[in-house]
This record gives sequence, C-alpha cells and structure tokens, in this order.
Amino acid sequence: MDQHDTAPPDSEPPPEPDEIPLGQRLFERPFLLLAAGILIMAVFYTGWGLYEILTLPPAPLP
Amino acid sequence: MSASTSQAAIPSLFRTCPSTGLKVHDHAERLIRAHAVVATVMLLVGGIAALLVLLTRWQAIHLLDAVWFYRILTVHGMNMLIFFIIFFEMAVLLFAGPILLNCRMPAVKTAWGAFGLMVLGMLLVQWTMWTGQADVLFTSYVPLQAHSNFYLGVILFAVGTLITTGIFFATLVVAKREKTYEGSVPLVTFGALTAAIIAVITLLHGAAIYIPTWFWSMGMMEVDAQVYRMVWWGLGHSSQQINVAAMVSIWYLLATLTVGGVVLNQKVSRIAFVLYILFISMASAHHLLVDPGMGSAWKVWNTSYFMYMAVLASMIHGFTVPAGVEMGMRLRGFTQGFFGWLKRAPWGDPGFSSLVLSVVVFGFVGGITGVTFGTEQINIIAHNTLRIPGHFHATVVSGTAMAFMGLTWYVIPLIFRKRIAFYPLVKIQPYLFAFGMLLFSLAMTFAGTFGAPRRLWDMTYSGAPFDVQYSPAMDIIIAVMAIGGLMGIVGGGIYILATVWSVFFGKPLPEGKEAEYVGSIPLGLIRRPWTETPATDEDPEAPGRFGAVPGTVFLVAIFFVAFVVYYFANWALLSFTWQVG
Ligand code: HEM
Ligand SMILES: [Cu+2]
Repeated sequence: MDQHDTAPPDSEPPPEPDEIPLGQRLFERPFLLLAAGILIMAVFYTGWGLYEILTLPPAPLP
Repeated sequence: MSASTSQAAIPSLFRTCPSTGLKVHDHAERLIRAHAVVATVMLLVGGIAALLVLLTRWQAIHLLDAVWFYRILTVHGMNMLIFFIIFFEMAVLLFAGPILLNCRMPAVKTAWGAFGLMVLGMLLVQWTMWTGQADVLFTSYVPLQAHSNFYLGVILFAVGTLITTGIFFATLVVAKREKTYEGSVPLVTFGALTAAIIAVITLLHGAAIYIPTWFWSMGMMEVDAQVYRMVWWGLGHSSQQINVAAMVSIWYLLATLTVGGVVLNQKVSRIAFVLYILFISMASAHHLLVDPGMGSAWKVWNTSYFMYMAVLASMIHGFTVPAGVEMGMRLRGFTQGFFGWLKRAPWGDPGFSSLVLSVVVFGFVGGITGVTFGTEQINIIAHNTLRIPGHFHATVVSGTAMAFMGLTWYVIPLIFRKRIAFYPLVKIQPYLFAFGMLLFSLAMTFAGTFGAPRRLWDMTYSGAPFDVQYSPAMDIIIAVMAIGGLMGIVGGGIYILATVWSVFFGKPLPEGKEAEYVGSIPLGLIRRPWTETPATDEDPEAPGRFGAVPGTVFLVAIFFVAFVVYYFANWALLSFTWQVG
C-alpha cells in the first residue's frame, strides 16, 4: 500500500502536473467542489421542492 | 496522493518566522482562543437549560411551567445546536486553514469583525429568548412569530459565519499561491473544506429563509408555511452535516495525535468527503417526509437514491478511522490477535477515549437510527416522537460534541500552552459523558417507540378531555432517560470546569517540556506517536486470513448485523401499526 505516509513528505519529488490523476486534480479545486455542491442541492432539493409547492393546486375547501 | 497527510503537517505546527521571531499563526491562535472561549460559555448556558428541560420532562419532577419549558427548550436548542457548535466549528476552520497549512492568516481585521458580528447576533437572540419574545424553538416555524430582533440576530450571526468561512477559502488560495505546503492539502484540511462548502450551502438557505421571515415579522410580507419548512430544513439539516464533516476531520486528527493512526488510503477517504459535498445536503427532505405539500417522487429521490451515497461515505469513514487506528497500533508492534491493539490502546488518554466513544455511539446509535427514520415509510412511526431527539443526541452530542471535547484536551496544551487542570477527573470525563448520553439516547428512543412525543411539556395530558394510555414501562424508561441525562450533564460539567480552569487559572506548559508533565497532559503529547517512524520485525501489513485490519473488519461486521436487525425490526413495527386488509 503505497498510500502509507509514514515517510517524510519531502522524500519524493512533487509529481509533474500531468502525472497527477484527473480525480486528484478535480479534488484540488475547492471552488469547483463548492459549485458542484451548491448546484446539486439547488436543483434536486430546493428548486424542485419550490416547483412542487408553487404548482400545488389550491385545496377545494370552502 | 501521497505527499501529504495530517501527520506531515503536525510537526511544523509551531513554525517560528525566522525574521520576526513571531509564531506564524499568532493571529489565528488568538482568534481560535476567542471562538473557543465563547463556545464554552454557550455550552454552559445550553447545559443549564438541558438540566431544566430534563427535569421537566421527567414527569416525577416536572420542574418548569409550560411557558418556561418552551422558553428554556428554545434556549437549549439555540445555544447548543447553533451557538456552541458553530463557534467551535469556526475555531476548527481557523485551525485547519492557517495552522495546518502553515500559512499566514489573511484578512485578520475582517476575521475579528466577523467574530464580532457573530457575538452581536448571538446576544440579540439571547435577549429576545430570555425576555420571552422568542418562544418559537430553534426551528422557529412560521406562523409562530418571534420579535423581529430574533431573526435579525440569526441573520447577523450567519453573516459573521459566512465571512469566516470565506476567510477559510481565502486561506486555501493564499497557501497555494505562497506554496506553504507540498502536494495536496492534508486530509484534515480537506475534511474542513468539506465542512466549509456545506456551510456555504447551509448559509445560502439560511439567508433565503430568514431574510423574508425577518420582513414578515415586521409585517412587511407573507411567508408560506410549507415554503418555510422546505427552505428552513435546507439550513437545519445541512448545518448538521457541517457538524458531521467537522467531526470526521477531528476523528482523523485525533487518531493521528493519540496513537499515530495512519490514513489507509487517501483517495478513498477523500472520495468519501466529496460524496458528502455532493449528496448529503439533499437529505434535508427527510424532515419533510410526512408533509402533505411535498410529492413522493421528490421525497424518495432526495432521501434515498443519491442520498445513500452520503450514507456510504459515512460508512467509509466509519471503517477507515478505526482501521487507521488499528494499523497505526500494529505498525508499532501491537500485533497480537484480533484485538491486541485495542487492549493496549491508551484508554486513559481522554483524546483517545473520546475518539473511540464518538465513533462507536455515532455509528451504532446515531447512524443506524438516522438511516432507519429517514426511510419514507418508517418515518411515520418515528416522526415527532422522542425517537427523534434520541437520534440526534447520539449524533450531534455523543458524536460531534464528544469529538470536540476530545480535541479540546489537545488544544489546551498545544494552543493555550497550559497544563490541564483536574486531569484525573478529565480522564473519566469521556466515559461519563458518553455512557450518560448513550443511556439517555437509548431510553429516549424506546420511549418514542412506545409513543412518547417530543417537545411536550406534560406527557400525562392532565386536564385534557381525552385519556392517553402508555405502556406501563414508560415511567421507568423516562427515569432511565433522566439518569442518563444527569450523567451526561455531570460529564459536561467536568468538561467546562476543567477547560475554564486550565485556560484562565492553569499552570503554563513550557515548550518542549511536555515529558515532565505526564499526569497533566494527554499521553499523545508525551509520546508524540506522529513524529516517529514505526519499525517492527513482522510485516504488520501482511494480510492475514481476515485482511490487514482484522479487528476492524470484525467490528464492522457486528455493525452491519445491528443495522439490519434494527432496520427490519422497524418494518415489523410499522406492519403492526398499519394492518392492511
Ligand atoms: C448534556 C446533556 C444534554 C441533555 C441532558 C439534553 C437534554 C435534552 C432534552 C431533555 C431535550 C428535550 C426533548 C424534547 O422534549 O423534545 C433536548 C432537546 C434538544 N437538545 Fe439536548 N441535551 C443535552 C445536550 C445537547 C447538546 C450538546 C446539543 C447540541 C449540540 C443538544 C441539542 C438539542 C436540540 C437541538 C434539542 C431539540 C430542541 C427542540 O426540539 O426544539 N442537546 N435536549
Ligand atoms: Cu436531517
């Protein structure tokens, strides 16, 4: 398991940017993660939820 | 992703600037102190309120009258869930940012301004609550109306929180630009980033609902009750997930500090955090499962499907944290059998015992009950019963607050540079608090299963035109709840006493002299397991028949059995309630 980090961090040279896997590069962009988090919540929960409430037919009570 | 972990960051915690001789993080440290002190005061106020509420719900005593019960219950919810937790979390962000990244603190004046706003907002809320102008509980459901200053206070508090969160993001940018760290940010910082992102989602919903509600309280507009509930829970639920992300980050940190726990796989742990970012907030819908205004598709989509990805994330952390502890211990030679590492673990270190108790109670009680109640069909038999506070006292109290407490025993020597007062008491504090709250949560869960409602001043409904019959066991269950709650309050009291005493009247801890103070600081600070490179003859990673971490695998198997049993027991209960045909 090479992920074990018991060795000091500077024992290996930092990898070239294009050696860094895509996932890791994505995870290093905090504002991208922020935007994704807000987007999913805004679409599935808040947006859809508001749409449901606002299109609710009024109760046919007197 | 190998170059950096929390371990790598810790030895450099107290970097001194070569030119000024000042510690690089002086500003961050002062801010952390201020936030921590206010958080503790809030815990004290909330704790006194807990005692009063508890002694009222215990029908044998029934201390407060109805008005004061709801007033103090509001005080308890606001001070604990909002003020204590969030002031502490801001301190965690200030730690995971400037200190772990070894970076200067950007926008120091703004940060103090934000702190001031939070305090101001908090005081406004306190004033309206204590003067009886905000008996609306922490959910403040419309059309229950409080004085407009209550909502204004909440808004000011939230703006302060948002600014501090923004400063955390700024720290990430500054640290990256000034190259104060190598590789990826440490895992603990990544967890804090997760908390910060969820905080932004939370605060956006908070703004979207509290600003209109503030205008409504001044008679300037209408607010629809169902819209309020939907948007409010975008705040109310998501804020709990800030707590979860902060707590999990602290788990990783405490594992490293106390036993030199390793991060088994950076990639897996980070993916789990990203699953939180993407999918945990939408679970807000589980608070609306019985609301008639929301459709089934919306409910099911938001509380299962994607949301189970967030449950998966919690289960990943629930495996990797104990597995990291086990591996850390095995690497240091504690390789006997399945549980040799557990037997030889530093149970007298309050940081370690808090970590273990937090993981276990959060997972076994909080997690299992939460996923069960979040199921659309089952929710109807749990909604608004004592099972709900039973569930969240296991998550946010035995999980999050317990983790915060455990971290405090390291923060006092590391940041405040003080020895810990009443250390022998502090060693038993985690056990008292955790077992008390465990008893309390379990009893509440049982009482709720037998039909006891939450938020109810008088369970006997005396003077009501109808008669309510509970199971004969109810009085005993409520008494057990009260005893557990009292134990928890004593544990919380020891925490407050020891932290306040240490910080204000405590004996100083000279730098580098930790080894001389064995009886008054946690063992981890003396052994410093995170600095050594462990060496053993056997290869502890050589997987046995049950993998490299057999003890953890065994414990996780027990967890799954408990989970399945509880889940299906609730379907059975539901079938008794609702006879079909
Ligand atoms: C020291 C131990 C504590 C005890 C004995 C305690 C006790 C109680 C009791 C008896 C209730 C009322 C339940 C009901 O009638 O529905 C309650 C509610 C609540 N507690 Fe605690 N509590 C403690 C700590 C905490 C902490 C640390 C937090 C948060 C971090 C917290 C958050 C809440 C919340 C949010 C409610 C719900 C209030 C509402 O329904 O409006 N409690 N607690
Ligand atoms: Cu929730």
